[in-house]
Amino acid sequence: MILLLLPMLALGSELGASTLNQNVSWTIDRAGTTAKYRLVAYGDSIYAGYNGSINNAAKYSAPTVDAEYLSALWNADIESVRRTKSGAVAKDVYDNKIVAEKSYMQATTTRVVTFEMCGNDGLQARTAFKKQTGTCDYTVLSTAEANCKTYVGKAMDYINANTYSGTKVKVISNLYYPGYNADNTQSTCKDATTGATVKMQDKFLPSIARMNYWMCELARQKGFQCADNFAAYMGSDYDKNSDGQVDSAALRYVAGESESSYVTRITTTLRSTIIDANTHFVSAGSTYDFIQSDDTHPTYTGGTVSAGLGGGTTSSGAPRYTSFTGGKNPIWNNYGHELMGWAVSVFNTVAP
Amino acid sequence: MNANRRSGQPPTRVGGFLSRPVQFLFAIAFVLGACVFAALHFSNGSRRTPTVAVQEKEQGESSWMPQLSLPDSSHGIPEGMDPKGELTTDVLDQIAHGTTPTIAEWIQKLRDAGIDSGIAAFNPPGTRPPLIGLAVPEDFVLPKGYIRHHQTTDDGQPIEAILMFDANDPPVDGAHRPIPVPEDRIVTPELAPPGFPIRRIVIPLPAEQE
Repeated sequence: MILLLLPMLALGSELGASTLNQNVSWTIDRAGTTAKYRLVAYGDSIYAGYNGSINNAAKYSAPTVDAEYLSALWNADIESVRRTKSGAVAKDVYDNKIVAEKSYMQATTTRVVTFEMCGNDGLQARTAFKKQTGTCDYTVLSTAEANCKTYVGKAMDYINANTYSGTKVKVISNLYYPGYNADNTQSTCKDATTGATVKMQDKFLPSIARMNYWMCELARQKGFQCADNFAAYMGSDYDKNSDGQVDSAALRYVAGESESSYVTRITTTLRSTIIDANTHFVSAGSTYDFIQSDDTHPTYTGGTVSAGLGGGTTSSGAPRYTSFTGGKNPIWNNYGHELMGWAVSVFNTVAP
Repeated sequence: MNANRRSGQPPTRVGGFLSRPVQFLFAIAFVLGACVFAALHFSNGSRRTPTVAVQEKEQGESSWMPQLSLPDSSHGIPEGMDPKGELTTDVLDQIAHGTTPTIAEWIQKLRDAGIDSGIAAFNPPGTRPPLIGLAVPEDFVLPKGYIRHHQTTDDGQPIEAILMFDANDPPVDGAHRPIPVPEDRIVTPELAPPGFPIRRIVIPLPAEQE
């Protein structure tokens, strides 16, 4: 019996691994400045700058893009401290990054704290749902939504209670919908009421909308700002449907609106304006693919840094851009991480 | 008796504390017990009880130090942290020294073992590879119905824009009828607008890692 158990123990130990800590500290070193402030970012593979590698990640993932905006705005060096765990669900990010690594936000130089979570709750729920046969069990989706809401709220409470008192900006980044086009297929399970298969996109879109609503609504209630990545990624940057509004702006969460109002707007009223982020219209004649070849993670530019198997990077470099016309760098909507970093930057205060 | 003994084999202690077969069984049992203990011990260790980890210690963190969160009994469980919070073990804890699997290999290994959480929930790189099509010169003014589509490699290099159809407003033919647009919307040479230089893009080679 023991002889049988040993290989199983070894296999279980080996394959229990499923997440990847990717921690990076990158300082935007602005010429002629001495003041230095810190931005702390907690999250999963999105803020990690995951790029399909076990060894490295994007140097300019969204938090570091925001650090570059801050450096110009505050005429200071900005240290972007990214404490991230690729593959982690919301509870994991909360327990093992935000709580366990609270010291990073407690430094007296901290001025910005931002976090993102829930994407892996959604991905795992989607994977589980796609495997279903027989009668569809939607509780995998509702459980992901409930966990997301719970840990987003806890994370905000914890950051409010523990971050340095001089922190000026607190931002949550909500979720875009990776694989929107790929989900435009029928399920293998059948709905209990209709007896028919369901279009998976029709089930996942309301679910992600409810998660996003609560991320932004809890932010409103708890003194955070909400970077609406869903709107930024999934909506065009011009008035594509000729309704008088830029599509991406029309999709944004509106402070104080009800859950049903938001979800109806996303899933019905403006549904036709939602386009997979692999074909993001920046104008009528130009599109950008914001998603890497895994059809999940955002694109980036600016090279990579060690993050993962070889350890994390702690280093610095000069900014790519030192001034910003209209608060946007020239590539703000050409790469996924650039857009997300800009979406966070709009909440930056004028002074540290 | 000695004639029956193999060369170098010690004599059996008949009537001693333990006979050789019993000693052998005890030895097997000891080794197995040690293995089980070690397996359980390191398995628990890799799961990392939710203490404040090495990662929290900012001072002295090395750029190249593997980021293993080792249990540290000198710290208690931080306030607000779930005592059962560590949901998963880190990939880094599990990779044998000297080996560097690709993320695709690791995802496949996890999935083969029936695990689809963590990074196993990610699609492997290459699930949706870059589209290959005609390169659009930056200064070429595109007629109505065509689009510049920009892509990026996974290591962050821009790929030349390719020519695609605007599915919602496709070009028209000589009779002013919309031309049929292929499902992938990629413009082939024969459907390119007049005067368009015919050259396919080339995906950049992998960048040197910093």
